[in-house]
Amino acid sequence: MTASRREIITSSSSPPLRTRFALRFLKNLMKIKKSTPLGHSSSLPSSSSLEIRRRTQLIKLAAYSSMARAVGSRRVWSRALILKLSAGKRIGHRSSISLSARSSLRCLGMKRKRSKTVTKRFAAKKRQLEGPCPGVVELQRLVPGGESMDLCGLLEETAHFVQCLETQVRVMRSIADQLP
Amino acid sequence: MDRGEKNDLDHEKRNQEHINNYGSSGVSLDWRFCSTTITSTPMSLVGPGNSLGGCKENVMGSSSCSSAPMVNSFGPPALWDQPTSVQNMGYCDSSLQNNLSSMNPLGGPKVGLGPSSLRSDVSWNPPVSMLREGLFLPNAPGTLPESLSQFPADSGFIERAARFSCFSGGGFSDMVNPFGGVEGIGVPPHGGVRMPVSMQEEAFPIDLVRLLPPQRNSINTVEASKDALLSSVPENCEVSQLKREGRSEDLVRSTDEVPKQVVGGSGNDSEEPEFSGGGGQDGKEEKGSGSKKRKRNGPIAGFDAKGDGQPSEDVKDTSETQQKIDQSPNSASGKAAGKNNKQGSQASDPPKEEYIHVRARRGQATNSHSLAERVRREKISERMKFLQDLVPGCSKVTGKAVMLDEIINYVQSLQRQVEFLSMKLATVNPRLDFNIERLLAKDILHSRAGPSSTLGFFPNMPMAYPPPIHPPPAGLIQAGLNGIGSPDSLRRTLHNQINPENAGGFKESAQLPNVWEDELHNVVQMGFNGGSALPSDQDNTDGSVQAGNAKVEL
Repeated sequence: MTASRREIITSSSSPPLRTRFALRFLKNLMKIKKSTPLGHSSSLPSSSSLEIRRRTQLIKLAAYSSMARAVGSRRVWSRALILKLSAGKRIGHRSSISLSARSSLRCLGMKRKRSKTVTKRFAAKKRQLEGPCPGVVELQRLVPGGESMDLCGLLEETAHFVQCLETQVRVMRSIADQLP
Repeated sequence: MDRGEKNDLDHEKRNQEHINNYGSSGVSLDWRFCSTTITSTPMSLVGPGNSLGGCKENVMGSSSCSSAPMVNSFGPPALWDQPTSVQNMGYCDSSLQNNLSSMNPLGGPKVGLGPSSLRSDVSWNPPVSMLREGLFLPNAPGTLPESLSQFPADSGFIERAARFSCFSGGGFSDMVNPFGGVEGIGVPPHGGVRMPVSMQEEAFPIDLVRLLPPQRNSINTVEASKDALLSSVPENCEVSQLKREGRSEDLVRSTDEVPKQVVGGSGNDSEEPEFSGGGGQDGKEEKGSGSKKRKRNGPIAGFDAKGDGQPSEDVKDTSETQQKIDQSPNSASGKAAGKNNKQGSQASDPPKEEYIHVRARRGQATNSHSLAERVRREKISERMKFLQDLVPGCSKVTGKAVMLDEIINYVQSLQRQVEFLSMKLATVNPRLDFNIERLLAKDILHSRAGPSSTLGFFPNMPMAYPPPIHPPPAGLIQAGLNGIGSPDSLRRTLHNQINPENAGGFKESAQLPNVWEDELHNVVQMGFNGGSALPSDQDNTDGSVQAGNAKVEL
């Protein structure tokens, strides 16, 4: 926990998160630009709007996937996101990544289960009985892979997720600002 | 239980004597009588809380040590049943008056006792067991009063005290003093109750000797229990009592089964300062070297035998907790420090590995589940605090629900921003390629505080910047290189005339590496001095970018 915290705070892992994210994101962006060239100028607004929407989606997905890959398999949400995205785009997706993500997820999940103590299990059961408060459910929906976590882990994942989102927004904003 | 009865009888006999003794301190009498009156209401023991406090003081002032323990014994019950306390208080008052006025050893107690039938029952065993079980209200409602009533009347207390004066005599009075008012509730009752019984047990002296050293602990525990009691009555009672019981465990075991509880309790309470940690802790340490939270059947068995089929779980928990507490090197200080849960767990961590060892904080329930709950709650609050720092404008927000809402709103806003920005990027002119590179450089230098490394920049750079353009890329390269976490690797790639394959995603043309090599040196030397140097370079870059436009492919 502290280690991950430190990682969150300082991003001291080389290279820093924003670098990794920026790198991947730009690559994906280039790919998208290459693959889906916009209509020449704005000749066809209608089609371009559709295209724009499509591209928006693609870019959004690219942003999230690049962020998740930059984070790697360290976080539950990143793994869940990778799996979700890999499941989403079957074609052209490298299976190795998903496999590695899945395997890492499996390993980590199993390890976590083993380390759970009796009291933890009891507390978890109790939590299930009581039912999470509505805020928790909402948060679980927002954070990828949060459905399977209790409040404790969910908060930690949320913290890291928020940090990554902030990085993402910053990078994207700077990119968007510096472009034409 | 048998013993208790015997004790009761003895107490009754000596009631007169005791009463006389207690008469000196009217309060104590009242206290005793209050307890007796409580018999009518099972948990009426609570009532004498205040009076008990007063009694205790008086008792303490008085030489009779036994009185102190007695007071103590009454304390916990008072805490348990707060609602009834009011009623009890009423009872006590009446009884007090009766006692004071009458000062009749037999009459007073008898009156107070009211249902003398209760007396017949075990003196303190029920209360003790109840205490131990932790808020075991339902049990022995009737028995409690009996024992209580008997207790005050039990002159055996005093006798015992006298007998063991060597151990406790002076100590009691001294010890008792710190108790003060309410505090004694949690602590003294045990001691008081237990004292007589323990005294009866011949083994008591031995325990006393054992217990004597850890006086400090007892005092601390007493104080701790005091605070605990004041803060949260039921829990405190439980905890303090349990602690006492835990300590007394050793005493009890050594002596007899039935009186065990009583002895332990009395021993602890009466001689808090003397016994407290010593005996109980020693015993605990022997038993539960490692299990803080685990269920121990051994030590608890004794208690169960005594208790009237009371839930052993609580006892176990308490014993376990106590063991934990005992085991911790500085139990006394730990209790005092009490707040820091981690301390206890850390202290006890070394010996155990399987379980999460949590130390029961002062005045908190010691149930294993509640301990786990507490740990979990603390973890959650810690993470909430961290999130509070992350989410802007949440410093004033307090409470989980509101905080969660804020977090949700923030996450949603961030996601919306991402979507908006992606839309903006989607509408950007296709001439994104070189713009991107340029942007990266600028972005890295300006928008990011530190050297932002857009390693990806490099792969693009070769494409965007044709080799002939030396100066312009310099700045960018410098920026990019600086941003890169591993300039050495970059250099290596450059030297190797990297192939189109990525070394980190590079696609360098043959010419570029040469250029970059030169620049690399500059970059490395420059380091990252911010974007100050860049603007000038950027101008050149723009020009070069345009020149290289033709080559750019998208």
